[in-house]
Amino acid sequence: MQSDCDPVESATKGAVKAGIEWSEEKILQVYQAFKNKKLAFIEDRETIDRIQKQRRKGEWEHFKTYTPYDEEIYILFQTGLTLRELEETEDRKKIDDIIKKIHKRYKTKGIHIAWFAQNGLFSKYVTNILETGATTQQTRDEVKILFGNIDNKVAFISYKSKPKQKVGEIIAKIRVNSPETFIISSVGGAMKACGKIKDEVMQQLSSQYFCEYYESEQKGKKIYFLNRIAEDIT
Amino acid sequence: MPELVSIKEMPRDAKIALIKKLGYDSDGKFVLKKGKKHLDKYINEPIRINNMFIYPGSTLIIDNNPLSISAFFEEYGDNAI
Repeated sequence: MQSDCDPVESATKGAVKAGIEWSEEKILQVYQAFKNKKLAFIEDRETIDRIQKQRRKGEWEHFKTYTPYDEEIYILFQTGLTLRELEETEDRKKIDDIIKKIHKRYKTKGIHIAWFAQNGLFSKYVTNILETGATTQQTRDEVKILFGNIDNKVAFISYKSKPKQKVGEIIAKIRVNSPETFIISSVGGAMKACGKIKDEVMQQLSSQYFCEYYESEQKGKKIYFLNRIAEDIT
Repeated sequence: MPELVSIKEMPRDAKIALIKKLGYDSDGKFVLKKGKKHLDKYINEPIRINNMFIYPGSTLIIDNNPLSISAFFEEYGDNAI
C-alpha cells in the first residue's frame, strides 16, 4: 500500500521511506531541497558512515601526523582501512571489487599502499623509525620516501608468492636501493612462507641488516623490519 | 551542511525522475549524461542508478564505493556531510 507522507519530511529523517507515492510534485519537492543544499542522496549509508567513523579515529590522525599531504596516498590509505574493516565482515565480493577498482585506477603501487594500511603496517613502521630517535620531521621524510617508493621498500608475501623468486627480488631491491628499512610482510596462510623468505634474505645480507618483527597470530600477520646497521665512521 | 539521505527505498522510476531534474538521464541501469554513460570522476567508471551518491552545489554524482567516497572527502573535506 502506498503512503502519502511528505517525501522531504521523510528524507530529512535520514532515509526515504518505502511506500511513498512519488508524484511529479513530490519529486520536485525533494529536488528543491537538494537545490537548496539541504539534502544529499546516497543509495545506502554503510560506506560513507564507515569512512566517516574511520576519519575520526586515532589511527587516521596518526597517519596524517606522519604523512606529508598527497591526495592519492591519503585516498589509498583510507581505502586500505576500509578493506581492513571489510575483512571482518568476510564480504569477499565487496573486497575483491574494491581491489579491482584500486588496481584499475592506481595500478600495483596503489594496491600496495592500500595493503600497507589494511595490514596495520603504518603504525608499526612509524614506531620502528621513532625508536631510532628520529624527529617528527625526519619520520615524515622517511614516510614520504616509503610511499613514493613502496615497491622497493616493502615485500608483500601472499600464498601465491614463490619463495625462491621472492628472495631474489628482495635481495635485488635491497642491494640496489640500500634502504634504511625494508619490510617483509605476510597475511593469512603466508605466515610460514614469509618466515622462511626472511631467514633466507637475512642469511644473504649477513651483517648489513638486523631484523625486528611483529606477529599477530590472531590476525594471521607477520611483519619483519629489516633495519640497516649504521656504518661505523670512526 | 546537507543532510545525507538514503534513497535505497526510493523506486527506480523516482530516482530516474530526480536525476533528470539534475540534468542527467538513465538507461534504467546507469546514469547517463548527454546520452553517454556518466563516469565517476574519481575512478572513471560508469555509475549504476542503484549505487549513486548525489551531492548538491555543482551537483556531483559519483559511485558509492570506498575509493570514490574517500576521494570525495579528500576533495570536499570532513564537514561536507
